[in-house]
Amino acid sequence: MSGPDRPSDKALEIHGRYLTVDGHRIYLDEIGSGGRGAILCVHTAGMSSLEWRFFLPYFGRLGYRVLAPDLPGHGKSLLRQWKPIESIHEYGEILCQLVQALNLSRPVLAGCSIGGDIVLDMGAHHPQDWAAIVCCEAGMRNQTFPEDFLERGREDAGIPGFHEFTYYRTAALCGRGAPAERVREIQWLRRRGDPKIMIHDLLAWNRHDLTSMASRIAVPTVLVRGADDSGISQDAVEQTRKAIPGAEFVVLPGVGHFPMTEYDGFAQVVESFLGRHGF
Amino acid sequence: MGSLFSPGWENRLREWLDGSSDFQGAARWFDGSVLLGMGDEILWLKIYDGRVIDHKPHPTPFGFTFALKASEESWRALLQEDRNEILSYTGSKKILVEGNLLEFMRLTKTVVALVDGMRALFREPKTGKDIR
Repeated sequence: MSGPDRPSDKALEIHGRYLTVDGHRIYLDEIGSGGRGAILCVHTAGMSSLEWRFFLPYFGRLGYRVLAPDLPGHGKSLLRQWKPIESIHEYGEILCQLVQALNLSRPVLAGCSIGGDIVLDMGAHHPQDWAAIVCCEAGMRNQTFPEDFLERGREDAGIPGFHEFTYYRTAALCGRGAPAERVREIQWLRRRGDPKIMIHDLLAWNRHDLTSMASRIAVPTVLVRGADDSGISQDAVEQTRKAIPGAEFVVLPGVGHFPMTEYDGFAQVVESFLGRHGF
Repeated sequence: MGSLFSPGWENRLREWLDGSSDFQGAARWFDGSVLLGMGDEILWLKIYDGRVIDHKPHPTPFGFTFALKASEESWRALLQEDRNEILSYTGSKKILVEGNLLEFMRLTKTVVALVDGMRALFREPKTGKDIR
């Protein structure tokens, strides 16, 4: 891992913790003291906080408090009411409760894929509550999958072998510049999740539509897209950029759907964006 | 599909798959057939217990479990990719999947290994009649 490993510097080690939000147990990874503010990182469909393990130490060293929760039903966070969530907005509202529980003051939001959808949704519904938004591989409207394919996945028998499919499909979602070891890690991360949770996340992604609300986002926002990402089109992100006042758009050559895990330079891209806006 | 490969590629594909632990492992749990189609050109593969046990250059009365069909242009583009993009091609319908889609999903690793074999043959030096 590229993160700090000095045993005496506890503030710069990633550590995990649990807390109860609205009666439900949530897990998160955390690093840093937060002298420069907080960054909340939201993972992709079916995944967990582990996706952000290369990103957290970088901003921890810069003086940020960086937090990466597992969404309900993912990683070590329990499922709410034992039902998968199928709504981007519902995820966003849960994270708003988490921010309150942690007493975070106007954190930067960073999210990728459904995490990107979630942070845009939080930005549109609570425009004054954030310092800035970093939205990767997502947009205000993403209809990537045929609905009948996802509907089949509500039952394991509807998409047999979904773990294997996800494993190989994930490799194709990574950029051609991603180191092989990182691709293997992302494939493993994607494979270890519950396919039911993944399917419901993708249903949420497919059906989410922020088109009529994107203009409400009122904080500095950067949209990041890996040029090799086949999960969302350049045009979809460009339309989102046009809809959000002042939004920036950064394209990363050789990068795919998982910039924070594939590409160490992603952290510098975010640092540069925050620097341009006085953070 | 002969225009994409050297003559005799069908037998060499079977040999390649026989030597692939990925193919043998995943296809061990399959008793069925896969049809590869490029226009009127066809390769029918009967697969059982991890091996291709028969192949025909034409349809058979047994039909097929699932088929992968595309134009020569799409097959060539897939085989020229710098990595195995079969799932991107089927997802975008550049290559059409017909037949039992549940078995196709269940056999993802088998399909990836099959295309790995085609990619290997596509890259081998051409001999005999070669119009590529």
